[in-house]
Amino acid sequence: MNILIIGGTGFIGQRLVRRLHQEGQKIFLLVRPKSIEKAKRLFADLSDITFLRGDIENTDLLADVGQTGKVSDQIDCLIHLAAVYQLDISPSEAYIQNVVGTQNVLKFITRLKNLRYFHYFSTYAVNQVLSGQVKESDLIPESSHFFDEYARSKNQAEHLVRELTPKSIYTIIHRPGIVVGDSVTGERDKDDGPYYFFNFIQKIKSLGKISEKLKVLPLPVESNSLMPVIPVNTLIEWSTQIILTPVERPITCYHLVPKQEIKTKDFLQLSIDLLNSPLKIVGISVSGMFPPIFKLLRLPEQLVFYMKSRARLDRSQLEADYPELTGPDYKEYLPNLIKAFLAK
Amino acid sequence: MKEIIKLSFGSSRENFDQVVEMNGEQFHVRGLGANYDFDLALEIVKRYASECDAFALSGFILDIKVGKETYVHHMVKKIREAAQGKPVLDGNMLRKAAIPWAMKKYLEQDKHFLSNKTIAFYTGLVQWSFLPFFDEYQCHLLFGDLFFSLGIPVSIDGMKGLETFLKINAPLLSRMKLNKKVIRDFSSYQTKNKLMQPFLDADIFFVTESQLKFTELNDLRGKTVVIDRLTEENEKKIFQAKADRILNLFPINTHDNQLSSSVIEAILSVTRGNGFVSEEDILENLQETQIRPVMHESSNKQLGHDQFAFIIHPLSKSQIAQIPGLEFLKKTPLLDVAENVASKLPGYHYCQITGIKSDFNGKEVTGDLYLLPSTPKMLLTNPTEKVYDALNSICEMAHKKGAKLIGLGAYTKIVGDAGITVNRRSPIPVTTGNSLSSAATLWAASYGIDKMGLVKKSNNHYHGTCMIIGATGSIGKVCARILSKQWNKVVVVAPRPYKVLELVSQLKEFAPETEIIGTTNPNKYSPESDLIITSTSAQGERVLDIDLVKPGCVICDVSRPFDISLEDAARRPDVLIIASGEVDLPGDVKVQKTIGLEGETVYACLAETALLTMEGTFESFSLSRELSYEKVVQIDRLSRKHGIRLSSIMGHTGEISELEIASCRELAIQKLATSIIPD
Repeated sequence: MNILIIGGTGFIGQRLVRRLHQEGQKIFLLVRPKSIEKAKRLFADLSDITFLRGDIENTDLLADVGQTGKVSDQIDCLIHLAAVYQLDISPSEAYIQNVVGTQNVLKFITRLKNLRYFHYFSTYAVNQVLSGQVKESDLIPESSHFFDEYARSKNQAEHLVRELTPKSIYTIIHRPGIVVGDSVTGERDKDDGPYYFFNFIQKIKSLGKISEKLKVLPLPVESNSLMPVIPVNTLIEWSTQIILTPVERPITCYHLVPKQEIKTKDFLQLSIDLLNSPLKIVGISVSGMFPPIFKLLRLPEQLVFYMKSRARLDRSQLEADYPELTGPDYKEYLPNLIKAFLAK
Repeated sequence: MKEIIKLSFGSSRENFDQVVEMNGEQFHVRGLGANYDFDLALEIVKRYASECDAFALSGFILDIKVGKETYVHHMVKKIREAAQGKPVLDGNMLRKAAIPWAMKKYLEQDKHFLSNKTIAFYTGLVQWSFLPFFDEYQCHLLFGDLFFSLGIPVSIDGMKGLETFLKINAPLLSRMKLNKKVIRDFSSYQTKNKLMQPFLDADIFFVTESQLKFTELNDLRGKTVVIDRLTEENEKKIFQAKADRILNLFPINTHDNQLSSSVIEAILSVTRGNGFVSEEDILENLQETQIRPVMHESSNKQLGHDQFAFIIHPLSKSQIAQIPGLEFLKKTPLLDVAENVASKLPGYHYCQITGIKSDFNGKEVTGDLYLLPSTPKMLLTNPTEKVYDALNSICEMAHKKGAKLIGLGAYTKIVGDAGITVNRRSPIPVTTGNSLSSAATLWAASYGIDKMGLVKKSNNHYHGTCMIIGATGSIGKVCARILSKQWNKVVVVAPRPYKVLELVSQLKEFAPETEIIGTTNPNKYSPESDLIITSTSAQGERVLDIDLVKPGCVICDVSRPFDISLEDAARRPDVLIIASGEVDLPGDVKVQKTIGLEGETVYACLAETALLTMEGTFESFSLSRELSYEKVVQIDRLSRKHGIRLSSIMGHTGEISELEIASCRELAIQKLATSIIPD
């Protein structure tokens, strides 16, 4: 396949590029003009990658696609995973990058004459406020309440993808859960998600004597809160398989999370244990108090949502199409993550 | 390609990316919704000002003009500043010109559309630029501004009320920060109170496409909706809410469905090159456009129960004495005085016709009969203005009682300009019923011919000759056209040869199969004619030598006064002379009092009024002395659709019975057998 990847230099993107290249696919990378040198250095070890200049912020995404001749005719698969990801991102930044950016990609799609597959990377957080069973076909209205601008903008963007993609193209929406480091090497990009929590525990430990007296850690986790964590390498394997053996339906959406449900409390408790802290988590449900407390502890207040989320991500579409994708047991890889975290 | 960004204050869900064409040039239009976040809107403008050629705004508060002062909303002001000199257009100038223009276009075909209607505007604040137009038409305007802007569920009454509201609140509104919470949704339970009720009771709701989002669609049930642009999706939504009809002011093809007024303004500003749109540019463009407003009728329209009215009057002095309360006048010399005095009296509600029910969709209609106590003589001799006044006061009464259409019976449709003035002054459409009268007369003629059975007929085509006397007149022309498709040979007669020649050539073109003959002398062809229609303005002068007429001929005398005198008719018992056809209405029809016809039979012109009401076409279908072929054909079709049938054929002295027809036929056959037919 001739695959054009938008957002191939990011944390997930880089790995996906390498993995697809390894599978012998012809890769085209759309890179911002100013970062093109950096990208070339990044993939210097890979042969036969075509770099295209373009910025999804711009109306005319591939203003200089002319220089690459008939490239736009060759593409039969497009992967769009460019997005800004930060919980404390500003609304306008999130909107311009994630919403307008996706809108521009959708416009660009109409110029790819031979495009058959469009893979769009969304996030499980598009249905942030839902609890209970969340189906892969669910998408809450864009006017719903969101805890952070990232989730809001990704929700708006997925709405656009679902509504504006030409029906002749097979659209596949990848909705990963919380992406954590490599399950083997523990390698990661930045400290967010559970890593905030790891840092937090470390901070308590660094307080010395006071921390030894602390026996319990009250957190807004309820016994049935769930944490849909997926290691980045698992995600890459799964997405690669989906990209190489795509299902041909107008719109398909997958929740890319392990089959085994992970209870937030268990996951965090195991993390604490692995970090050699004697703390025991006590779940409390006074959620209104937490944002100010989180602020005090220099944790992003949006994290509250991720702790108390009780959404159960339905993966029946994934199981129907790719029954072999079940995912690793967090108890097995969490030590590796912690090891890498501590090594830093 | 020129770039236009349509920045809407609303949801990003409607973001789009489209190439639109206007005046032969293509433009790239991108829609970006700010999700009710002003700071985001401002950031978008800052980010893309350098990349686009113009901004089109939607959903923001526009400049408010109160008296001489203009209040610019602080948000719009900031957006204009942030646009780095790129034009920022709001479409208001276009709407100001285009909406009245489109309304006027529509009123040309439905002039009573706005008459005495109550029109609800969700926000006069946004729509003030074209409100003076509606004010001119003396409509009752109501505004939802108090609720929309301030959350106070009270409807504002009239332009004066709106002006007062704006005067007091404009400074506040122009500073108010807009966000999702400030946008009031009319689906709120708060709007369901007494003070808001007048607004919700309006006849017509004027909404813009963007306002539909916060409109409670159920409020539109049974209403007329006027909308600036109608997408298929919205049409479905509005009709699902059971609105009666939607007037789409600017029907544009779906490929260009992003051509909203602000986008058009932005395009004009870009093509003019100076970033500025003048009223002249807009006028120029409007003149060029071929767009005409379109009315969409609901297919699942509530059948409801509509009412019509009809005006009747006594046809002779003696009928005055039949008016309840005036019976004592019978056979007294006072009758002449009474005729005169009665004609000065106003009309009154006479009785009701109930139980009319369409065969087609079961829609039930009721008719109110109003009696104007004037005889034909008085109607024609009293000053025309006085008669108009009397008729119009009946129209007013009928309107107040809920009638949506009124018909003019008998001589009331002959007075003056035959309904035109009465219609102009009436709050509801007026029809003379002439189209159905003519159709019914032709049904009667066919019925007579068939009953006489002397003309060979195959496939609804008569192998014989028919003659139309007065064929260049309004009724004559229509009859000639219709009959030329039904008969082998058609003779058209009129006094002026050049008019006859013109008609003959028209008919030859219309019905090339038929032999068409034109003449100024009816007597030349009367011996061979099987059907003669006379429709002249001979005022009782003899138009035809009755002795020459072929035995068994059917004469349809449409003229009033009659062309065929009673004496002439008496001389030829072998000739069937028909004056008109009367009809039966579908359903279990009850007429409370006598209207001078047998049983439940009604006048054809009354039937036309009832028929149009069943069809839901409340318009001045037939007016003036002119008759249109298309309308007669249409009314003929509608009659069959709803089940209006010929009930009886009327002669000079009343209904013609089957027996009379049979004896006429006998005499004709005898005469044909004995007479020498001239060659």
